[in-house]
Amino acid sequence: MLWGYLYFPQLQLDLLTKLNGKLSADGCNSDGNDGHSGNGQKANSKPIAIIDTQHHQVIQLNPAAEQQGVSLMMGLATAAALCNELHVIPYDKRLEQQELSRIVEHLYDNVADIACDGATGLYLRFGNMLRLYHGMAPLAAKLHQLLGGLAVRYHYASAYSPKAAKVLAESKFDCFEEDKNSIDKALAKLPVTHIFKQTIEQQQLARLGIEHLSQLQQLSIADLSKRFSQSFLHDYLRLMGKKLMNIKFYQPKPHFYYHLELLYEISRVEVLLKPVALVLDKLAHFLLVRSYASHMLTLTCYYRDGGDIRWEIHSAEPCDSAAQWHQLIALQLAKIRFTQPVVAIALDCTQLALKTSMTPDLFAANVPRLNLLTLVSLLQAKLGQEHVQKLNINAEHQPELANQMISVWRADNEANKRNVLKTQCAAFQHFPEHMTRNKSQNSLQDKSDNKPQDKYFLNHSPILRPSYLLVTPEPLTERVSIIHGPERIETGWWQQTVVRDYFVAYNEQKQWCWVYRDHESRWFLHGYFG
Amino acid sequence: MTQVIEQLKNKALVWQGNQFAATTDYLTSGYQALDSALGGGLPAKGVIDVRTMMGIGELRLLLPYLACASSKAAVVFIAPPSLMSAESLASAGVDIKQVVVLSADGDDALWCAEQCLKSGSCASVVLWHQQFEIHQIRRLNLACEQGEASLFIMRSLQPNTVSLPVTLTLSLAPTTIGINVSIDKRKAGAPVAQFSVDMTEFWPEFAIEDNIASTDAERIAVHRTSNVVPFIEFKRRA
Repeated sequence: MLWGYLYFPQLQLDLLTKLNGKLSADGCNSDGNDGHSGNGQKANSKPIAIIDTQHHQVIQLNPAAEQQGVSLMMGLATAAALCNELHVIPYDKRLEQQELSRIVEHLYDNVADIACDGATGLYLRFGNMLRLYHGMAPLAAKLHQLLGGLAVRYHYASAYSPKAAKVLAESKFDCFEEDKNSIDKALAKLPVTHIFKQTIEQQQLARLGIEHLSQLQQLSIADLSKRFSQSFLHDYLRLMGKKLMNIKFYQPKPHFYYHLELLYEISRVEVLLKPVALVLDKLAHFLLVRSYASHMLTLTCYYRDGGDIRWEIHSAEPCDSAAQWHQLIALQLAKIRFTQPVVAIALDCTQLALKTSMTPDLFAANVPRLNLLTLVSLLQAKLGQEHVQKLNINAEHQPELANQMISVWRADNEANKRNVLKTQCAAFQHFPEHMTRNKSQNSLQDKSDNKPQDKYFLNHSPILRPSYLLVTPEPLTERVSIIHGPERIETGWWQQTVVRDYFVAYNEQKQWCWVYRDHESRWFLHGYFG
Repeated sequence: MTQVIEQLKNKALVWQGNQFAATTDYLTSGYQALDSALGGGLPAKGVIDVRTMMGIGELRLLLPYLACASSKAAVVFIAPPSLMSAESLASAGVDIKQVVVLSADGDDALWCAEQCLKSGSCASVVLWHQQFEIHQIRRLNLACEQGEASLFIMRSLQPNTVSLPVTLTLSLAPTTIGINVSIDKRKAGAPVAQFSVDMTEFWPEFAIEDNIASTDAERIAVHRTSNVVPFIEFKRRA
């Protein structure tokens, strides 16, 4: 099986230069006359070296530093003596690993079998991919195209064992080769010091006079096992592809999480929305390739002096568009003032749902710009979730419980909707006979031939309820005339007994009121018939 | 003079009656008297200014229209004076699954109204809001045009000096059998003086016999129902 390896020798430095470049570009765009603009070019030309903190050796350096005479594996003191302007940055393995996992995510869309190797390299299993791409050349072109967009330095190689590919890549073979013979030739020429990094092993090999792999290959395994340690032997067997390596392939994360360290502190929401848009683009891509949409995002802003603030951004309809999410976030954050500057943001999306598409009416004259659930999401973002409500009829006798509004919006399918309506209509038929409104129904049925809107009155319910219902009943303080009633509602004996006689009344302002008398003969106003 | 009129016309401060006649389409209000006065029904799109007291039957006047609207698209209530009762709306034929109730005030309410109207997914919006400026109504009008929706502005009867560029202005006053409507202003039509809309056909409960309304109203005390006989009267009968 053919394997490939990508070796990133200076990931941290590349990341740093990329960020500096971005910063200077941003500086040029926003405040050109501020003096920041020159900073970027300076940052690029400034000598930078990344130092291994354990051994105080230069492990990564930029061309500017190289020009001044600094070289790899040079001690920190020598480097500083050669170049007094040298900008020294400690090596951060975690940062490189993060960047590497981002590269893996980026490549995963096009190469299925991919695995991280420490913080500097990637194993690629080409075997299956070659069949998909019909040969090495298209696959290599695709990889170069993807990696070119990342602006990182990389070396690469291919071989018939992962270890061999790694060794070749590290020695800058820089060729994706399919031919076994030429790969073997290249391997045979490799100095053994490139392959076996431990000093003891290198000393042992030197004592035997072995300089190249070809010399080692002439010895039998049995001979080698006598002279060398177990681990050396294992490494050698893996290199020759005679022993399997334990490689854990990358599995895409089930959820979306992205943490973005900001390049500068931000204390205004309008400015913060720009980096948020970048992250949302990544989210949109994540959702697009998986054909997912989401109901909810969590946006976390990390403050400079510790602490964070987070918002849950909801969408009533599953949404996968970056623009829509951006609009919702902008609305929700519009009234926010940060107490401290924000230094990092994180976006978390765990509620994923399969995307469903709305089928609009083919013959409708005007196609809605937004569907209802998208509109509801917008309103919720502006007003807060609890202020956007829908009506609901609960199976309760007490009017304030029966008419409670709910603020949970979810897409429910048409069939569901119809069922609910049917059960509601059925519920109305259970009311006592004497309360039905025969008069109005009869008169309507007579006329229903030529008036299309009359059909809406046919399911006229027998109960009389005010359209404006007071949240809590108020004591009745004005003179009213009783017109209809009473309608007794007696319920809740299992917790708090409610006995009320409801009347339709008419007050002196000529408003139609809904009043009731409780079991202690106190009078309350409970609503108006609007 | 004609120049002045031209300028006013360009600013849409003056319009001619025949200008809109062809373009406006109506949706029947469900009440014969109102339909005939309006020449077909309430406008299917545009801003309708309703000046009324609360609780005199103003919603009942609009409910057939809203029921019809809810069968097509959503109906939104913005900043109602109290809870909206689902039972009462459902009993009037409004599809309550299509109803959205928003609690918002001030500029937020106007913003919401505009978004709802523009979206094209709302057939009608009912907004309780008192003060408007001309440019706000203009924006709402545009939103109505864009989304083919209608907006009812429910506000009190207080005399308002600013004349708003709405499609229709109705003033409502209570009567014993329904509601007195006067059409104060409308596009493509002349104002109509107060006329009575009889709502007893659909709402027989909300009618008062004349004697109760005038004299008996005084007689019936606060804490009494019509089927409870006072003790003194009971003794006298015995």
